[in-house]
Amino acid sequence: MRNSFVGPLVLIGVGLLFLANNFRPDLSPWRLLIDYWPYLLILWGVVRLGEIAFLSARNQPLPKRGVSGGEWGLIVFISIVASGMWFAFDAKDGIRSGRVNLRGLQIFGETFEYPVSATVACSKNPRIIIENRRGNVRLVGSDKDEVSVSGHKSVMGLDKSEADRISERMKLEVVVQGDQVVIRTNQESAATDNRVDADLEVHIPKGASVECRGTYGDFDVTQITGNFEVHSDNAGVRGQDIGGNVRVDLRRSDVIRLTRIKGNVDVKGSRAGDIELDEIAGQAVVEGQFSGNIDFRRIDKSLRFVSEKTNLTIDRLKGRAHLSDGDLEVEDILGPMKLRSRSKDVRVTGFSSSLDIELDRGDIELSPGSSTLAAIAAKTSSGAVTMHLPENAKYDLEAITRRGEVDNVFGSPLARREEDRGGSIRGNNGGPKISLETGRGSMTVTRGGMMSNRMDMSMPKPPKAPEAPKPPTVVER
Amino acid sequence: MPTSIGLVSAIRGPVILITLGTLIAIDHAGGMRFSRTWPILIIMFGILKLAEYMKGGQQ
Repeated sequence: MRNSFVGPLVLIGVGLLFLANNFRPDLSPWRLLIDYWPYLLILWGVVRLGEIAFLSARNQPLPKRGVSGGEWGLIVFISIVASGMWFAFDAKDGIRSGRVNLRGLQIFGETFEYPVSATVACSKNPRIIIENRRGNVRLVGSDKDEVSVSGHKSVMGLDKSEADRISERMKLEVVVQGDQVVIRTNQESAATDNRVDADLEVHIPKGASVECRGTYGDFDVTQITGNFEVHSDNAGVRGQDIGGNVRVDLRRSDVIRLTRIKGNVDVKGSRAGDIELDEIAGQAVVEGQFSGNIDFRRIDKSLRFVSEKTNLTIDRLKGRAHLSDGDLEVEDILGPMKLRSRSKDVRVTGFSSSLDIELDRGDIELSPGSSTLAAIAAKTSSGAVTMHLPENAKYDLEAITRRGEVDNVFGSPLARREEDRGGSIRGNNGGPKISLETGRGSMTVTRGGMMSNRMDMSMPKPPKAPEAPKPPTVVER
Repeated sequence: MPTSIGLVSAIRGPVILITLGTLIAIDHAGGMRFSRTWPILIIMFGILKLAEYMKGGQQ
């Protein structure tokens, strides 16, 4: 027979939880369970440990296993359900923190919507500050010297009167202070655990600068000549046709998409998904941890990308750089490129300036864009290295693998040598230093890059149209 | 009379459970992600198995 305190304790705990909820409706038992279930596991283990210590101290027979198979099953079940709910909440809430969130589950409430609108006159180049805690905001530059806000706020409540009361407290404010226009949805002053948010569409003068602050919701800015700045815990950010600098500072984000930016771009995200930067006239700095696809196109000045595992700098990216979890593909760069990464398969095509690549793990494939090479240093501790060397290039090449096959497809004047377990390919006709190295993996040098004819930038001639077939002739039989 | 080998094998479950709870709590509090810390569970299991073996060896 098993005697355990856990069963009765769980029953008492569940009873207390629901009792508490009946007296304090703001304490949702679900919410508490979702926030505190890991501590429940710890408590469970501690109680079990206490029991065993107790039995051991009294020299009573110990259970063979401290936690029975059935209990493990229950633990797995609780973990799956609670973490599933936790993720769902987290996605809705966007706030990841250890503290208790007293906002109820609100599966019973209803959402009530209230329209909001306001228009104020302002200067030609105002600084617009948007404070919207939850909800999406779209800003569009227009020719009028006024700020006009329209949209709606949503309030979740058990009935209309409750929602009305909350809505009364969260008034839209548009305040002009000199050159500054502050748009506030005052969700904080609603002081409620009920869920409230506001979706706004704001028309602003073209010359405006915009600063957005929020906790959860998307910001979308189009056609302004000023700067664009976002600070949020969790936001999707889209910006297009922006004349000034863009600064994005997020804790979490599903997507950041910036297109046609005249100034510099500075993106910080501690847990971000996809990032897309296209046509940036200034320099771009992207820092953070990213889980999705990262796409950079046409960055006129320098690009700097820093994540936990990768550090990449590219000068004048004419084509595209694409990063995903295990790959980095770079096409068409004018300036030098430098890459340090823990684990990436790297492909660089169409480059003519110097390259400096160092990987802990991953393959490297290089195809220069012209036969005039610059210094190349590419090193991986483990992975295959392939170099497509243009036919009439000048080089001082040294390609080494410490352990692996060497394959000289290029042929003479490059000389292949097998050494120990690895080998090398060497050749020098008075060009820049090209040093390729892998600790473990194959080393291949082939003739001509895929992009080796890109220098003249001309399209290949279309093939001649085939001759029209002759009409069939009658054959006498 | 419980033997120490029995004690070690009895506390294995609870200790693993406490470790699991702690790792998930750390994850939720915004610290190290559980997806990165989970191997600690295997290490804990190994240590406890080792302790069991050592205790057995002494007897």
